[in-house]
Amino acid sequence: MLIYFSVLLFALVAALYGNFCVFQKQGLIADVLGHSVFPAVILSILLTNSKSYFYMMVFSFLFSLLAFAILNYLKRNPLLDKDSIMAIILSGFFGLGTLLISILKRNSSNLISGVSDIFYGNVSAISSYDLFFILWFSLISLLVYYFLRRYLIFSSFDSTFFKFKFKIHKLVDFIFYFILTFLVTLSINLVGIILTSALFIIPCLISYKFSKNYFQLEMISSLAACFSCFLGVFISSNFNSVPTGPLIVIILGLFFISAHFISIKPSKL
Amino acid sequence: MILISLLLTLVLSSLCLALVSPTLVLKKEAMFVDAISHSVLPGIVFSFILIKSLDSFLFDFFAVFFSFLTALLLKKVFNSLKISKESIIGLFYTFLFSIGVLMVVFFANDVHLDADAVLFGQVEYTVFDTLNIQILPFLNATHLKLSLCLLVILLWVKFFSRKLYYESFDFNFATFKFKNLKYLNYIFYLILSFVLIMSFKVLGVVLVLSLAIAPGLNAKLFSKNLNDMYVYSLIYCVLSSLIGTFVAYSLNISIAGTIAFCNLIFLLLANFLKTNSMHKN
Repeated sequence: MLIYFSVLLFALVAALYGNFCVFQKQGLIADVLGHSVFPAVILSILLTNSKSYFYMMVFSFLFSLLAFAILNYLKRNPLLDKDSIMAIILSGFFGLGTLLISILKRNSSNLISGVSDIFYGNVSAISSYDLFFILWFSLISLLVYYFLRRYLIFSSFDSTFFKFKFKIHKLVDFIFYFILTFLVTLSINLVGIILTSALFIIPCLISYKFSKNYFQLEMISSLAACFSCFLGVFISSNFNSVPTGPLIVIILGLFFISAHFISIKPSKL
Repeated sequence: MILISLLLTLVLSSLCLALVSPTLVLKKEAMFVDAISHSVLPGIVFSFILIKSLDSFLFDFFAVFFSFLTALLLKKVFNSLKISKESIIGLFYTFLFSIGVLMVVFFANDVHLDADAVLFGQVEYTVFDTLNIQILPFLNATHLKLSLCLLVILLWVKFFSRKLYYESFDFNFATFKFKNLKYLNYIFYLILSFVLIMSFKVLGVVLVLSLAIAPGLNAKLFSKNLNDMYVYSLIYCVLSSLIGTFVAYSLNISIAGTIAFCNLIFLLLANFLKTNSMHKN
């Protein structure tokens, strides 16, 4: 019961923040952050010699922040375009993870068994302690969302006006990316590091087909995310060998395809 | 002997990718490559189910065909959906990649086409299928395939690639001047999927992405014209694969991972050097 509750809450929060990702044209930022989590998890296993969830979270959070900082540093050079920078950063961090995993294989091969879960997600591997962690941080992010929502709507639809009107625009951006990084870190056990961006992008794309105002968009996107996460977790906890992440993503994708054919509204995003 | 064989494989495949990378960087299609390289997985698994072997020529043919289809499909989706590019890529590749992962889980889990091998690549295993030639004992079948690939790409660079650059600098002029620009793009995607499939088995999804973008991007920082860009990117790719291989071989760690990480470090270094020299001027 706890697993459904925390996963659904997490999906809701991810969809809410993901809407702003899509509207700020930052759809693939979750992808970069997700890839940068991989070396962090392996490094935490190597250094602490155990699979403690807490240290994994701390390391992953630091590495995602590092990836984000490198992205922003390289973006300042006008000769480099954003797409190429993102490609290099995500492959570089993933390469670092591959490098560390080969060290881990050589040194302590008994710890390697559950590592492949972080690629595609595995709900049955989450312990109740981790679930409480996910639950509490989703609640905190939801609370922050309540205060941040107004500013984020301004910043994603008219960023110049937002910068002119509110003096705290840098603080709002910082908190937004801070929480986004944390949500990506939390999602590694659920959808895995490679498919994280789907959980943030696709609900927004589905709800954009139907909604007429921002409140409706939030409602439909969080409903779609919750429903597909529920189905994915349900199926994968009943059939053992199926990884959770791909299931959730396929259900979301099927939703999107059916939404695309059902809706009559011409979409422009 | 193993080291020479490994080096030859890596240098050949990175040369192939470095010849494509200036076009990719100038067209700003880096994440497009990422999307193709992930979403080709169902095609690879499907052709494996059809052919039942990873080494035959037919498998490569079918895999190239499917990845070309994927690229065309992605282009079609770009034009028809009217959503921003990043969101489409995020939607498209995650959906197809998860279909591929589930196909691997259900149909092909027992053979050595597991999903981890697709991610990491298996440079270290290519050395074993040698061709048994007396004079060149380190030569293996992968080398032959890669040199064939290199030849095809050289021909493409010589005869077809130039006109594509007009498109990346001035789209309207290019569509006005060349009537067959659409077909030139199709040829480019065919060549791209050919290179990607050929280097997948050796390098894995993520290193392919790194080696396809890093040479062109580093060369773009320092070059003043297109020929320089090609020369610099070729020099860069040979250097990075040599350095990466030696570091990885001496520390006994994964080669593909080391090269991808080195590319990130080199890009940071190059950016640092370039911005410093810009401030001086």
